[in-house]
Amino acid sequence: MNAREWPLVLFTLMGQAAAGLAFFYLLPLYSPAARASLPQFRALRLGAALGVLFLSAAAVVLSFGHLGRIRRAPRSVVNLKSSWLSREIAALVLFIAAAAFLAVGEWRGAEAPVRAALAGLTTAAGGIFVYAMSRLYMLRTVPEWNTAATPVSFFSSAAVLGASLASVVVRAGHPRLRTDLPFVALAAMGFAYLAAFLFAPRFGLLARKEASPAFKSDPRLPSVFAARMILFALAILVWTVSILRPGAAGPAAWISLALLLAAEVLGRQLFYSIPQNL
Amino acid sequence: MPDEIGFLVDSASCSGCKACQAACKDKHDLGDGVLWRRVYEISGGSWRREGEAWVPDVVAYYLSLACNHCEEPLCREACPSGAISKREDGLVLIDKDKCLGCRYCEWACPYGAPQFDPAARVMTKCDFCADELEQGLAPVCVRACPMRALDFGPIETLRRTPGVTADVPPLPSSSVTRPAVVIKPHRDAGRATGPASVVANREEV
Repeated sequence: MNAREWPLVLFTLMGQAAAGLAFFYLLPLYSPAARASLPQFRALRLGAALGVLFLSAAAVVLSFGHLGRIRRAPRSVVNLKSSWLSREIAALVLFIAAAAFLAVGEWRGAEAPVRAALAGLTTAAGGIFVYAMSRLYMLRTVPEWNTAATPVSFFSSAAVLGASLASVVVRAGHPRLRTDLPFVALAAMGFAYLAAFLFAPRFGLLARKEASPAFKSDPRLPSVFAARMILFALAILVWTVSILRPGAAGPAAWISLALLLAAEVLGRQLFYSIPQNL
Repeated sequence: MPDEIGFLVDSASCSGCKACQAACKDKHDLGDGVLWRRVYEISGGSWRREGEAWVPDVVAYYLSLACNHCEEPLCREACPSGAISKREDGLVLIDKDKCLGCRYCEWACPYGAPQFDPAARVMTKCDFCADELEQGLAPVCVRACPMRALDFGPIETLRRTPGVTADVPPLPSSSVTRPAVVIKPHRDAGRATGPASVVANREEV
């Protein structure tokens, strides 16, 4: 992977985390079941909207590092007709705008149906953003990317990052979410771990013959893949401990999150090592 | 509608001297690491048993490639800013004033044609020497080749040249982008499909 891909690594991580946070934390706060009359409930919703807004806006800022001409960034939505990159950016702008309006709505006390609609729009835009992000990598000229494994892995990363961030960082202020989210995050981690194996044949780890040219030419990459899977397994193990032993929940969950982020970064290093044109 | 133009590459005649590459770089004043035309050295092979003896069974040939000005340019499809367009005469061009330098076209093109210019911070690529064409001249790469291994013309006419193809290892299938290029393959090209065949001068291109 080239150093120039680092902005993309951070952009995809932050963007997927924002979309996952919207789905697993923000949206449930607007469900009828979550409407308990907690005094801090409005503050929770405002915090969730601001969290999504911060992550998605940070993703945009980080993505500028990938552009040669930052001032021309507004032109990135010109080719909606055929470019998935244009569609991704348009979806991201919608995602940010919806989250911003929602935060303002919560702050100013807008009507409940309006805020609920904005929460739904924010979450839907986040989903479309992650889908467009995965589609832009499904290039006919990069067969290793052009498979269903790409959207599956992007959505599973969004789920893992969103649910675990909500559990650890936001600490899921609502009692019901505080109980449920760690288990949701664990399930997402399990699914994402299995999804990661969808890419395994390309790394030559399971079937050398199917390995992509990039992985045949760089003998270190299968080791990076193995390291990623070990870190990911450790993250799941530590997360499970944090759930089963509530006394150790704080530090263990943070350690698990750190392991998870390290595994994701390694996964993206592998992902961006794949394309090899002539 | 004018005929779309393309290149003919006679790989069987190419000696790998890189005069085309140098002429292109000189005319367009390309900076470090930017090569609109690149001469690839394809080599590979193994040992073959003949009776009691093991004899070398190797392949080696050159391919001079620039932008193939594809009929279905994936770079244009991918470009988010609409900076890449295809003219009626088939030329696929980048408008430097619209390019963001996001490098997405670099991923989309299987031929490595769009290249990032670190000085201008935008993508650049072969423009078929459009200014030379307007004066009735051939592109400088064609004029520079001492072996007459490069030619250009209406692509439909070039495709009727005996013995040419657009599918030569290690190029991707021409069905992906329908490149406006035809190649007279080197006699070894048919044997260069094994895993041992590689671009041997990766550092140069």
